[in-house]
Amino acid sequence: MTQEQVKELLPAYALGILSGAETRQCEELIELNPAIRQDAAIWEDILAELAFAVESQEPPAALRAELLRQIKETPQDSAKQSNVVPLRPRRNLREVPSAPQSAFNYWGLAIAASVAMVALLGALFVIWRKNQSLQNESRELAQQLKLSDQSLQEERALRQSLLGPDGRGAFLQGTPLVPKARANLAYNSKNGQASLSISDLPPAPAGKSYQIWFIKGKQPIPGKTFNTNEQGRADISLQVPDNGLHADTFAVTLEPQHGSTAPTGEKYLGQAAS
Amino acid sequence: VSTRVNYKVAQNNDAFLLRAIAGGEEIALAELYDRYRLILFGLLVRILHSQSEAEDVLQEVFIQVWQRARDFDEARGKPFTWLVTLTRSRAIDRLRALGARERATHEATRNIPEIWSDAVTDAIRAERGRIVRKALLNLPEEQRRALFLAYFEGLSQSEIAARLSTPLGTVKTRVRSGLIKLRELLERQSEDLR
Repeated sequence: MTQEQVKELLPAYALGILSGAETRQCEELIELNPAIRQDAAIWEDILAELAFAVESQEPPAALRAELLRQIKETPQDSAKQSNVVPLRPRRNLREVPSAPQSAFNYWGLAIAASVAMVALLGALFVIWRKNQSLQNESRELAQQLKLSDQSLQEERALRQSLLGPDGRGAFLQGTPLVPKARANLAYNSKNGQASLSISDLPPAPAGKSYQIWFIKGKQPIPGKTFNTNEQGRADISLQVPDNGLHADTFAVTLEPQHGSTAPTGEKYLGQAAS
Repeated sequence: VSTRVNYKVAQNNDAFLLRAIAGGEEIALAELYDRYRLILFGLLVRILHSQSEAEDVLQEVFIQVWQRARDFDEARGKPFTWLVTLTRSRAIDRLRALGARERATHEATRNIPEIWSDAVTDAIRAERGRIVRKALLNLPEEQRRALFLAYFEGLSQSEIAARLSTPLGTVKTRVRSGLIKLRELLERQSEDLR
């Protein structure tokens, strides 16, 4: 099946109504071809939207409590890929070269002993170096673990802060310049901790950055500058300035690389609902 | 559009919530549930035609989200799409297990509901619902019927052909044309709002 034929099948693939053979062919090409993968994802998004065509219904309140009770007893699947850095296996001490066989005469014995001593010293030096290297490696790993633990703690603290009673959020939509762009801003209205998650916003041109603005009345208060990756994504933590905590609305503009004190570039994201 | 929406907690930041769920935070699962319970339960009732079955499956879906949140790859899709796909897939599996397709099929071809529940108070959800419903109403009736049988009943193209006494090739064309038109309409209407 050609790529074009598979592309034609993607709507039906996303709908889940293809035969087994056709499904497999689509899946193979989706894995291999990023453009096909992207197109399949768009069809899946379209089909997910169909859920909005159905009348919403409220499930029984007891269901939520039961769900939360059940997840306490349900272990989560382990990650597909472990982040634990594997330690290199230690070399076995028995691998230290043994001393050469000694001779029967004195000189021979003395020479042999000297050679053995040199070999032993050499081996001890190698072991000492190896030990130093392993200790350094161990220290680095401990440091990395400490940093990972710190960032995990920080991330958890941020989540708690944003999910707590002072958490606020806003959904930003792309302007006609970037109609598919989206952003979600979550922030704590008391301490200003914030998280900004952006999708489908093309990377800023060279020498430029995006900048977020907290707008109170007609006064834009400058926020952090950032850029997106090749996939148009960015997930950043930021601090809302004190005078931006009570902003009415938010916007993202394109600015010089290190940002501006007042917006100078075009608006790329704005709040559809404020 | 300047609909006033006051988001309570990090609204719409689903990826953020999924990362928190993957980190074992139950409060994040509760938040995701609160955010989507109405639309997902509505979808389940529509597919399963049974409140009790829908309750079972909704619970299964969120337990699966809890277990598999780490598998979710933001680079490959949107959280909402993942959630709806998971929900629809489990609902159709349940439907098949129940052998309830025959009973439910006549419902699948019914028109789009005219009245929205009072529970639909979230402005974004209501707005998206309005856009999708409008787009669906703009599809030719035969395309919409084929699409609904596939989407809400999980019927294959051959089963739809048999159900509608229509040649398989015609069904394939209707489904594909319907989806292409739906995509165009949704994209156009979303752009009109900006």
